[in-house]
Amino acid sequence: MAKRTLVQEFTKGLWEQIPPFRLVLGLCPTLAVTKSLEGGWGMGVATTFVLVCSNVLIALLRPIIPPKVRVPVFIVIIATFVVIVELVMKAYTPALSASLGVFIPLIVVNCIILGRAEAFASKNGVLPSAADGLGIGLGFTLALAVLGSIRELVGTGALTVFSQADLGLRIIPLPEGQEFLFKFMVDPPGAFVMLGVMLMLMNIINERQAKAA
Amino acid sequence: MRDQIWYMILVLGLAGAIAGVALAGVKGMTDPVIESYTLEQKVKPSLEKFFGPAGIDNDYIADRVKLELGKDDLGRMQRLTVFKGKKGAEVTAVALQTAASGYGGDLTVLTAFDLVNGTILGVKTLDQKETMGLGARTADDTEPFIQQWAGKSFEGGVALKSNGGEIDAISGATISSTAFTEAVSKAVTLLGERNAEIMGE
Repeated sequence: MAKRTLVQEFTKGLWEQIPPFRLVLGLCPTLAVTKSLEGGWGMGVATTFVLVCSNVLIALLRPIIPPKVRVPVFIVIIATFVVIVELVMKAYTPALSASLGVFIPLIVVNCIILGRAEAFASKNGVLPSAADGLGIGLGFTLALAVLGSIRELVGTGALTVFSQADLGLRIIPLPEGQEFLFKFMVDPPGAFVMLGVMLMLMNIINERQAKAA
Repeated sequence: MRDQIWYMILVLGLAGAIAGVALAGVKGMTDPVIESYTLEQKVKPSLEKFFGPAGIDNDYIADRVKLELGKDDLGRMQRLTVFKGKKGAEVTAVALQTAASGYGGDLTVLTAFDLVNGTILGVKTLDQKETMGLGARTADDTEPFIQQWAGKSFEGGVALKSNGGEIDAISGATISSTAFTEAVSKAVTLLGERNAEIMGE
C-alpha cells in the first residue's frame, strides 16, 4: 500500500472508512443516542475527543509499551480519557450529559476506539495517528448528526441543537398537546430502519462512482 | 527488555498510577461545579416541593451541614449532607442525602422528613447509573415508585414488601428498588443515630 499523506489519513474517515457505515463499528451508541440531533453530535464530539487523545498518546508511547501487555495499557489510556470526558460533561453540559446517560461511560467499550488504537495508532507515528483519529471521529460525528437529525425531524418535527442554551428549531408545527409526528422514528426500530436506508444510499452512490470510473 | 516481566509490570503499573493521578485532578476540578449544579437544579426544586407545604421559611440550601460518618472500606471519608428546614427557630423538617450501591453504581437519594408528624415528605433521586427503562425509572419523579413514599411513617423503618415492609418495588428492577430503599433506610437510621448533631446548630 502506498504511503498516505496526512490529508488522506484525515479524509478517509469522512467517507471511505466512515465508522458506522463502512467500518460497521460503534453501532450501539449509533442506534441508542441518535434520537435527536443534539444526542448525535454530543456523542460524536465526546467520542472524537477520546479517539484523538488516545490515538496520539498511544502513538507517542508506542516505543515503550511492551507488545504483550499493549491491550491493557490501551484500555487504561482510553478509560482515563473517557472518565475525563464524563466528568467534564457532567460539570459543564449537565443536560446533554443526562440525556446521553450511561452511553458516555460506555465509550470505553466502543470498538472504534480500541480498533483505531490497535489497527492504526500502534503502528503509525503521532501526526498520522492524530489525523486518523480526527478524521474517523468527525466521520462518526457527521454520521450520528445526520442520523439524529432525520430521526428527530421525522419523529417529532423539530431539531434540537443544544437544549441547555435553548437552541432548537421547530420545523413542522404540531397541534397543541401532541408530542410526536411519527413516533416510530424516535423508537429503537426507527434507528435500525434509518441506518439501513443510509447504508443503502451510500452503496448506491459508491456503485455509481465505480461504474463511472 | 520489553519482554521482561518486571518491565511489563512497571509500564502497566505506571500507566495506572498516572491515570489515577490525572483523574483525581479532574475530579477535584469538576466536583464543586457538579455539586453546585445538583444543589441548584435538583435539590432546590425538590425541597421547595417537599418543604413548601410544611411551612418551612428558612434558606435550607444555605443552612445545610455536612456530618462526617467515618471511613468506608476503601478508606474514603463518608459525609452526610443535611438540609434543615426551620419554622421560626425550630427545626421541623430535615432532608438527608444518602447513597446505596445500585445496579450500575451509587444511587444517591434525597429524603425529606417531617419531624412533627413522623412521616416522609418526599424522595428524589439525585444521581443514578441504573439501566434505562428499568432502574433508571427511579430518576422520574412521576413514577409511582417515587410517589408512594410521601406520607409514609418512617418511625418503624422502611422496607420493600418482599422484606416485610410496605414499599412496592419497580417490577424488573429489584436491585435498583432495593438500593433506593436502602438509601432511604440509611437516612432513617442516621436521623435516629445522629439526631443531636442534625437538630443542633
